[in-house]
Amino acid sequence: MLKVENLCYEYESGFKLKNINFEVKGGESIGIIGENGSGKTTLVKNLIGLLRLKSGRILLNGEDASKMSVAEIARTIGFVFQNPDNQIFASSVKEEVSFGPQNLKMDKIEEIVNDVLKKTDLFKYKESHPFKLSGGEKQRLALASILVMNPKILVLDEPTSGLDLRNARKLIEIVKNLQEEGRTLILISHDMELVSDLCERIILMKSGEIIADGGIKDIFDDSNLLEKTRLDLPEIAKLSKILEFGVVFDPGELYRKWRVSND
Amino acid sequence: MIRYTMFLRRKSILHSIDPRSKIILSLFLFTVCIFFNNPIYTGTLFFFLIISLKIFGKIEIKKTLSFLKPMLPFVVMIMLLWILLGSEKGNVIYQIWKLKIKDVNIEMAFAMGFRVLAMILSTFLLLMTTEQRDLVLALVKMKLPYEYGLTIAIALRYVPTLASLAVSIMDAQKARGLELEKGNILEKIKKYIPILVPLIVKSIQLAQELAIAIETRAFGKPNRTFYRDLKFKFKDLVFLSAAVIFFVICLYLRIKGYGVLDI
Ligand SMILES: Nc1ncnc2c1ncn2[C@@H]1O[C@H](COP(=O)(O)OP(=O)(O)O)[C@@H](O)[C@H]1O
Ligand SMILES: [Mg+2]
Repeated sequence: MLKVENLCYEYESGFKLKNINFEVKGGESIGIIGENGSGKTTLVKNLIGLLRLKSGRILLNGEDASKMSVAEIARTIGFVFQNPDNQIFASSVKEEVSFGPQNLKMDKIEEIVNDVLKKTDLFKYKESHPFKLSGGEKQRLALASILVMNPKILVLDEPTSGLDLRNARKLIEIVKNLQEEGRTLILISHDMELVSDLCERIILMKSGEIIADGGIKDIFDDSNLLEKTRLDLPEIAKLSKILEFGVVFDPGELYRKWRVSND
Repeated sequence: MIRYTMFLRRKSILHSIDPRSKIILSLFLFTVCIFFNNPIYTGTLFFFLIISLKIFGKIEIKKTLSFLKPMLPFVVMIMLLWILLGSEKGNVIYQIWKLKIKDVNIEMAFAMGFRVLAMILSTFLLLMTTEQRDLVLALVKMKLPYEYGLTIAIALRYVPTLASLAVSIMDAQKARGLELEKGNILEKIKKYIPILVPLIVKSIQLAQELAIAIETRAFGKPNRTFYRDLKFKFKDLVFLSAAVIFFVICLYLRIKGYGVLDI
């Protein structure tokens, strides 16, 4: 679905993405993690064409994405930005969400807008002024305004940063429903609980390079890697590693393993 | 990356001069640019400024040119307007259909192109070699009321913030399929609404926060003191005398009719 080959990029300030290679299959959920400033956002901006790679290739369904406009790429890859305040401009929620489909000249806009508003639990605010929404609702509005363009791949950049627990949970629930629909998810986050909750594969970045790409449990089990990147594992994974049960995220599973080892 | 402040840290004569002298020099240079409309004079002035920045300001010629680059479309436009709509006098050297290209207008185009570039450079000279806070302090010391000095300082301080905000907003809307380049002028103007609304909303929020911050610091109380101070030293006197002599020579040339084309 998405294939990145030897992608290189450089800011004028000198920061570089070096030789990025990975492939995303339809329906996968991938977490891109790494310290602040390791280049996660820069990488994704390259994927959606906001930044144009210096060398290498991005293949989107087999086609070279370097020839596509940002709007064309947006039909396949939806990128939800960190700060929803940076995009709200319309005078009603409905109008705000219709912006993308109008730009892409989609059909049956009314219908798809209603559908997305229901999925993101914003339907009751359809006619409300977007500036009046709470922080959590604004975040969901940002998600809705991308989702409405029906991208196969959804990219979320730190979606829960700045949200309280209740709003974060609500967002996660919506994302899980999208995963069940078969949508591909790329999640950028340094919240390891969130990543372990939503993703089965991890791409680990450091100083503009991918230093590991694989199953989440394999990576969380690799002490060398953890040391090198100062990753903070979810508490339950720390506990299960101390108990020498390997990496476990599910309390029930941890309990079963403990029972078995005590017998 | 966008550069927000033009200041370049170097150890040079220009950097060490009192900002008040530099403000006066900058005004002199700016005025002198208006004196002449002979391309040899304005051209000399332009190259003189670039070389002086290199010698006295230790600013690489490449760097100066890179600052001028964004101004180029503006300069080219001025030159084209002179070539196409200039004086009726002179000899036609080339004719395309009804458009007559005249020798005097070509000459004027270069004179004006260099004039504008030299004017820009005379301001850049000040901004590239003076820190913002010194600039503001200098204005206050030159009897500009403190409120105005502070306003200028704040404006300069917020240019970077607003510039990077504008970029983030544009990115967010492009990811929703907004294509700024497409359409006729009217459509293009309309496309800036989704960018301007969030920008204005955010600016007002920033201004409110700032107003509170300033008030809590006892703004407007009489007899304020300054943390930094400026000292006018002997070398400033030498520098300023040189600037005055330069200005008087140029004024003399101008009065005698040198460097002025008759069209
Ligand atoms: N517009 C920009 N211009 C220059 N450098 C930038 C720009 N944006 C980010 N950077 C730099 O690139 C590096 C990676 O940033 P980013 O991709 O945002 O990291 P992350 O999302 O992993 O925190 C940082 O060192 C940052 O300072
Ligand atoms: Mg980031």
